[in-house]
Parts: sequence; C-alpha cells; structure tokens
Amino acid sequence: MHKFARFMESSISFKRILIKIFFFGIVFINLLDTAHAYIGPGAGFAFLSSFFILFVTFALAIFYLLSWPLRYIIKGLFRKNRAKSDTKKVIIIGLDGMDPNLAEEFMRKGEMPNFQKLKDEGTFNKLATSYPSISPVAWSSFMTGVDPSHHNIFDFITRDPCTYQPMLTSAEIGKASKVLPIGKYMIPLSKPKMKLLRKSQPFWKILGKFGIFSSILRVPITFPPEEFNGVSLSGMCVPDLKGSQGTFSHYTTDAKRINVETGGESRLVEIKDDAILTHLHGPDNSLIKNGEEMTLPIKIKIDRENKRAKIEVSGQSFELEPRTYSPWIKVAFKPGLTIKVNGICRFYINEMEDGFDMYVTPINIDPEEPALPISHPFVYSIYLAKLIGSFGTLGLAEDTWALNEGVIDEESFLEQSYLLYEEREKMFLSALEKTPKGLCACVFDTTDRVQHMFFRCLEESHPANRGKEVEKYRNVIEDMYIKMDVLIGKVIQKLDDKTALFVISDHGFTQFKRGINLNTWLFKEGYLVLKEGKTTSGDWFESVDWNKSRAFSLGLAGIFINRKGREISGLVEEGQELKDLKQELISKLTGLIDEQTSQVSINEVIDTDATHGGPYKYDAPDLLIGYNAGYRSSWTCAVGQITESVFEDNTKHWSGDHCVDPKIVPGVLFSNLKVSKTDPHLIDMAPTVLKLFGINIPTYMQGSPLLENTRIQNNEK
Amino acid sequence: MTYINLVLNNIFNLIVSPFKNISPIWSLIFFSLLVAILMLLIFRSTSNQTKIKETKSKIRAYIYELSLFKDELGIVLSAQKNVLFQNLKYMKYALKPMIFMIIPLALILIQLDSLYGHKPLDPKESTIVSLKLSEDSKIPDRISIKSDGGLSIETPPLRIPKDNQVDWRIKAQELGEHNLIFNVQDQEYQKMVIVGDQGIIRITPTVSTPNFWNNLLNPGQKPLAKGGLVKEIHVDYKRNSIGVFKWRLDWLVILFVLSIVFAFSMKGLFKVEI
Repeated sequence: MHKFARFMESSISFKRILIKIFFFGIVFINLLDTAHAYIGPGAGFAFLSSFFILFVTFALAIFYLLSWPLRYIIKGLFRKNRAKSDTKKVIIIGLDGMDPNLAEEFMRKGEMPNFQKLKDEGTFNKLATSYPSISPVAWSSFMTGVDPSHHNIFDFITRDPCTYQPMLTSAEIGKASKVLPIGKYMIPLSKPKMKLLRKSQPFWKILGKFGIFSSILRVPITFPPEEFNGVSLSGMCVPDLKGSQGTFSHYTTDAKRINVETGGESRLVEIKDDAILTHLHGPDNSLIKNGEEMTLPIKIKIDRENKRAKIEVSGQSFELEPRTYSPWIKVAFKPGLTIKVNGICRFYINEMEDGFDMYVTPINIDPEEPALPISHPFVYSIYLAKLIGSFGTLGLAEDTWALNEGVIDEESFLEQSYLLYEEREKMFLSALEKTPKGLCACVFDTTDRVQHMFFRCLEESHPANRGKEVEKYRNVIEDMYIKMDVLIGKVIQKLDDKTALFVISDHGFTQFKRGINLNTWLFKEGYLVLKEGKTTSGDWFESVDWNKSRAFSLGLAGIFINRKGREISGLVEEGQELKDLKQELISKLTGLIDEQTSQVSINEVIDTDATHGGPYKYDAPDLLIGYNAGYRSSWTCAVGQITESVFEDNTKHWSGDHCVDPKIVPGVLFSNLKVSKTDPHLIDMAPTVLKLFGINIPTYMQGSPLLENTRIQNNEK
Repeated sequence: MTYINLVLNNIFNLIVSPFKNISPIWSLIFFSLLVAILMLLIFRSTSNQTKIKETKSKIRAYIYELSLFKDELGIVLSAQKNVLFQNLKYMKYALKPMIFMIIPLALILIQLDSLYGHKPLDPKESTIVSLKLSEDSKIPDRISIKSDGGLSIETPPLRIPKDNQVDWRIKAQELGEHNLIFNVQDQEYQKMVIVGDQGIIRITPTVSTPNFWNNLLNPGQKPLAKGGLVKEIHVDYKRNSIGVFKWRLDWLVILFVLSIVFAFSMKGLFKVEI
C-alpha cells in the first residue's frame, strides 16, 4: 500500500511537471514571432495524420453513403430473386469434435446452462457425420451439402498416383509458373500456383448470388480463399510459413531431448557466458535456384538473477520469463531483392535454471502482412489483425505434436490452446456485430484439439496414461465444455426473433487406445509386397515393391487398390478382378479381431464405388474403414510404414479420436429453433440455411432442410 | 541566456558555414533533416509507442471496415465514429512528446529565424528605424542618429508621443555591416544594420533591454544597456522568402514540409511509431 501511495505520489508530481512544461511551452510558443505556427514534426505527425485520416474516412463514408442507393439498385438488377423470408440472420457455431454424449452428461450435471436452454427451448440432437468422419471431410460436406464423392475430400492426405507419395487433399500450392532467371535469382513473373482441390461450392456462395452477405471464420477447407459476397478467414489446412501443416522449433542444451520425430525440429544449443546463439529456421528461399532454408539469428541472454531471458530476433528484443508464452513476435525472412517474407511465432522457455530448453511455435503466416492469401478479401485478415491484434493463422494451430513429442507439457499446451481460443472468440464476436443480417459462421478447433490430447484422462486404463498424470487433467475436457457454454451464453444474448442459431460439431469423440497398421496386415496377407529381403518398411512405403503390390493404406480413411490405369504401377485390372479383390478384403477385414483384447477392431468396410455416386469417387480410397470404438489407423500406417505387428498400443498424448465408424461418433446439433427432422445429418445444414433465407435448394445437394417451414411459422407450430 | 545564445549561435554558424555561399534551400534541407532526426528521437523516447501503435492499428482497421462492410450503413457510420474516437486518442498520445519537443524546437526555430527570417537591406533600399523609449521616459528634445558609414539618414526624427517612439527613414548605401549610433540626451546606443545581396546572413531586427524573453528571441545581437532611456531599437527588414522551383516560400513552410517528409521516411530506420 505504502509503495502504491508513493508510486501515485510520484506519478502525480510527474504529471504536474508535465502540465507546467506544457503551459510554459504554450506561453513560450505564443511569444515567438514566427514560430507560433509550427511546433515541429511532433505536431505535424499528430495533427497532419489525424486530419488526413479524418478527411479520408469522412470522404469514404460520404462516398459509401451517397453511392449506397446506386449500388443497391445495381445489385438488385443482377441479384437472383428469392422467396420472402422471416429470417434476417443465421449464426452457425462449429465446435469441432463436440461429443453429444459428453454434452448430455455435462448438461445433466447442470454445468452447461446455455446449452441446456437451447435444448429445452429449441433443439438438441445427434448430427450424423460424413464417411469417413474426419474434420476436412465432414466440414466439406457441411458447406457443400454433398458427400465426399461430390466434393473430393476423403482425408487430410491422399497418394500421388504417379509416385505413391503423400499429397494434401485440400489444396495444391506450387511455385510461380513463370520465372525470370537473373544471375542466382529466379524472379517470379506470375503468382505462385494455388488451387483449392475441394469441389462443389459452399452454400454461402449461393447466398451471395441472392445478395446475402456472409462472414465465414476458420471453417476448414476454405484455403485458398474463394470469392463470394462476404468475408472469410481460412482455417484448417492453412500452412505455416515453411509450407508445412505446422513445424515447431525446439532448442535445448540436453542432448537426450533431441529426439523429436514428427511435427518439429529439435536443435542442440550451447550456453556461453549465459548467452545462447542459434537460428530460427524459416521457409526455403524460392527466389534463388535450389534456394536453401532461410534462417534468422536468435540471441538469448539469460538473466539468472531476475529469472528471465532477453531474446533478440529479427530486429526485436523482448524479455521472457520461463513457462510463459511471449506475445506473437513478428519475424521477417529476407530472400533478397528487398523482399520480406513475414511470419509470427510465440516463444516459450521450458527450462532455464538447469540448462536451457525453449519451444517456438510453428511460424504462422502473419495476418497483417500475409505471404499467402488467407482471407477473402485479401485485406480481411489485415483488418482483423489491426482490430484485435495478431492471431494464429495456421490451420492446425494448437501444437498437438509438440505435446506428443514431449517438447511442451500439458499445461503449456492448454495455455496455448486457450490463447488461440481467445483470439478466435474475439474475431467471432466482432464478426457477429458486423453481420447484422446474413450468415455468420465460425468454427472453433479448441474442442477437437483438447479432446484429442486429454481423452485418455476419461478412462483410467488407457494405454496412453502410462507414465503420465491423469488425475490432474481429469476435468480438462469438462472445463472446456463449460467454457464453450459461456461462449454460447454470449451469443444467446444477441439473438432476436429473426435470428436462427445452430451450434454443431462435425463429429463426436471416442477413445483411441489401439492402432491398426493396415499396411502390415496387407503385407502379412500378401496384398502388399516388400522388396526382396525386407520384412518392414520405413515412412511413405520406402521398401514397397509396387510392381507386385495390390493394395495399400495411406492416411486415416482406408485402403487404395493399386489399380491399373490409375496408379503408375497399378496391376489390378478394372472390372471383375477389382470387384473380387475388394470383396475379398471386405470379408477378411470386417470383424477383424484384436487378439490381445479379443475385441472386434473393424466394424465394417465400405466399398466407395458401390456406396458413393459422385464424380470424384474414382480417385478416392477404394475401401473406407469403419473402425470400432477404441481403434484407429495406427500412427505408422498413416505414414505408409510396414511394422512387425498389426496392432499396437497408442501411448501418445493424442489419445482420443473420431476416425472410426461414423455411427459411433455423431456430432451435435443445438438450435434455438425446433428442428423437425429426426435424423439430422451434416449435409442437411446447407439446404437448411438456404431454405431459411427463402432460396430454392439446388438439386445436386443431397441433404434436406431440417425445418419444415420458415422460422416464424416453425415457432408458431 | 546570453551564454546559451552564444553557444547556439556558434553551433548554428558552424553548421551553416559550408552552405554560406550557395542557395539557402540546401542548408534548410539539411536543417530539416537534423530537426526530423531530433524530433524522431524525442518522439521515440517520450511517447507511449505501444499505445500509439495500437491506436493507429485500430484507426486503419476502421478504415478497412468502411470498405469491407460498405453496404451496411450502420457499420459505416459506426466505423466513422470509431475513427474519430481513435483519432482523439492518438492525439492524446502525441501530446506528451509534443510537450517535450516544444523547448528544443523553439530554440532551433529562433536560431533559424535569425538566419532565414529576414532579408538584409539591398544597396539603395530604404527602411524605417524605430527607437522606443522606456515607459517612464518622455521623448527628449535632444535625440539624434548617425551612421558610421554605408547608411544615410533620409529623414529628420518623426516623434510619435502616443507610442513613446521615434522613427527615421534610412537608406543603404554600401554592402556590409554598419552601425547606427543614436544619441538620446547624451546617452549613446548602437544598432547594427546589415546590407547584403547574397548568402545566409544572421539578422536581428530588434535589439532591446535585457530580459529573458528579449534575449531569447533576439539571439543575434547583444542587448541594450540596462537602465537606459531606450527600451528597444527596431530595423524594419523585409521578410525573406526562399526560391523553390517556381515558387518563393517562407523558410518555415519549407522546414515544416521537409522535416515531416524526412521524419516519415526515416521512422522505420529509427524504429519510431508515429
């Protein structure tokens, strides 16, 4: 208190001095003969900028106000007509992975009063998900109203039929097609190649054609951003600055901790005179022929007395205490020719007393100076960053691999996840305000990532609990659901009788205790053949003999047949041979027993060709696997390895999953409206929103509206 | 103050010496650069850079908002209101560094005004010289003026009792620095008059009895003796203007524009958020 009083006193006396200086200065200036008109650039900066800004904004405002009737008329001429609708606004909150069973349990305990209110006054139901029940697939079905064979997204990754190597399913990002070689430089003459591989169209594009504005935030598979009437910020599948789906950096003095295998890079550092010199590794230099990875020096000065470190990077300097995240730090890599590639990352010191250990998040694309377009219009991410401050832009921003690899612990993972959540909540609430009519949709990933990493704590016997704390984190998921309830509460307050609210999830959750390596099973059964003398294979089918292999698995969704005419070394003929092989595999895999647990590991296997009718089924996995609860494609199988055993315990922090039989993991559907359809499906969301706005549902859409009538009629009913 | 003036005069004379015989615009460009650097350093060290950055970001965000949501009249008006509010905040944050800039800048401006503010008399040019007596004195009968050469006195004294002032018209005859010698009831006073045709020449139009403000505002010449009959002597030099392309501008306008241009272009170099 005494210190506070002294501080206040000194601050007051300082203010008095300032006031005296100010008045003295004013008198002084007024006495000057010629200088009274000018008090320097200081005043120039402040007043010129202010008046300029005021002038510009006033001019813009007047222009927009005066041109509004004209724009209204022009838009009206080109706008498609729709039926009269009582719905002014639709809000969709996507809580990725929210599980209906857990939601029900927590509502029953009275911990989610806002969800309970929606259930009591509107709707709560399970929402059937896509096959396979993987986020990019499910959210693509949500936005297009069609199944994966119509939108072309069956998994995160697929195989390149020419090389059998993995490639992203959602987007293709390549170098500029035209370059001008000058000396060592390769000057791009065209934009880098960027193509969204998701087919069909999101329903907000249709809304736009009818003059309805949409704000779409972080919905997966919206990168690269598409043009439509509204604003959007891309979500899942936005890469980091290195072009990966998230590569963290780890710096340690402990040689035993240099064992990161996936998701990041670990580097050994040395302390000399309490200082560390190392580098932040950025993207490859695409401006130079065979350009190497660009780096930025990092200088760390350890202040042991004050228990903090001073970090210098990219021309900035900041102090950081151990076990605290730095704010987003801007970093700029310089490939040459005065070009800058801007990114942002957070620093986190794990240990400083006994050695040194620091984690740096993947370098996100800087939303304020984006190296790639991550929003529509391009300036929307810049606008958001200026309005709410810098924010994580990486698709999978919560660094699950850093926790899996033990580079950060549970506490720091949670802190990171909630820092990201807060950014998204801010941008969502802002978007809600800026969308007084039309559609406002936002997907929150926190629910998915936290459940993936802490689901083990809901089941004592989970293999991932070995050597890890369980009790301490038992309520993490429950607490997160409560946090989501608070968000829903904030949104409910903004509802009126012309606004429809839907809270949905793309899938639910279940335990991931045992992994199945389908490649190993295929090898053991003779469908996948290894090169002479090999009994196992490294990543990405390193030792596979493609000239003899008939089937393989990559990613999480299922099995590809090595088809003649499709895969480069395909040997299975189209027609009866293919049909027979698929049937053989289906009958062998359905009901596959895990001998260690005596449980059925695979409930069903789906023939994609037989069950899907869309134009993109040809390139899809030929068989989709419906794993039983507790099972999933193993980590090794997903990356094309062949191991010794088919089944393995999942001991990673990533202990919950949903890449199973979709019937086991439906999502949730909450609404302030009473939904009439008894078996709602994700693909019903697009037609529902179109109907609410009085728009005819396109015939290609496979879903049907959840509501029989329009909103007000529905309420009366 | 006399010592401060002495030091400042020498510093400014030194700075201006390489530019003495070329167009004054070059030295003014150089001074603008120095002023910009000094102000940037003061601005950086005395302002709340984080708050200024935040406020500027918000202003830009609301400007983007105007075009992103241009079809929503409510949002356009609200963005306009927010820009105005953030602008006021920005001006509030700019006030503190402005206060710290006032004193050094005033000293610089006084110096520059004495270098660039007035034009020396041209040969054959006439002007008015005014002698102001102290308030408790009446205009004495015995009052005269003479030149030590290079100037001629064109008129007899014109007495203005209401202002306690006596005026003469003088004419420049030769280039150089000449003294006017006044005799007021046997007390002698001197005022230097500059006749020149090119280069940067320090000119002090007014010399007065010593006090803080008079010394500060007239740095180029020693003050009059204390306790005498005369309070102030003023030579009516014409205001100077400097040629920039086709125009002739006051030095202050040039300094104002150039120092702002330099400051904005160097803010990145000095890492200043303005």
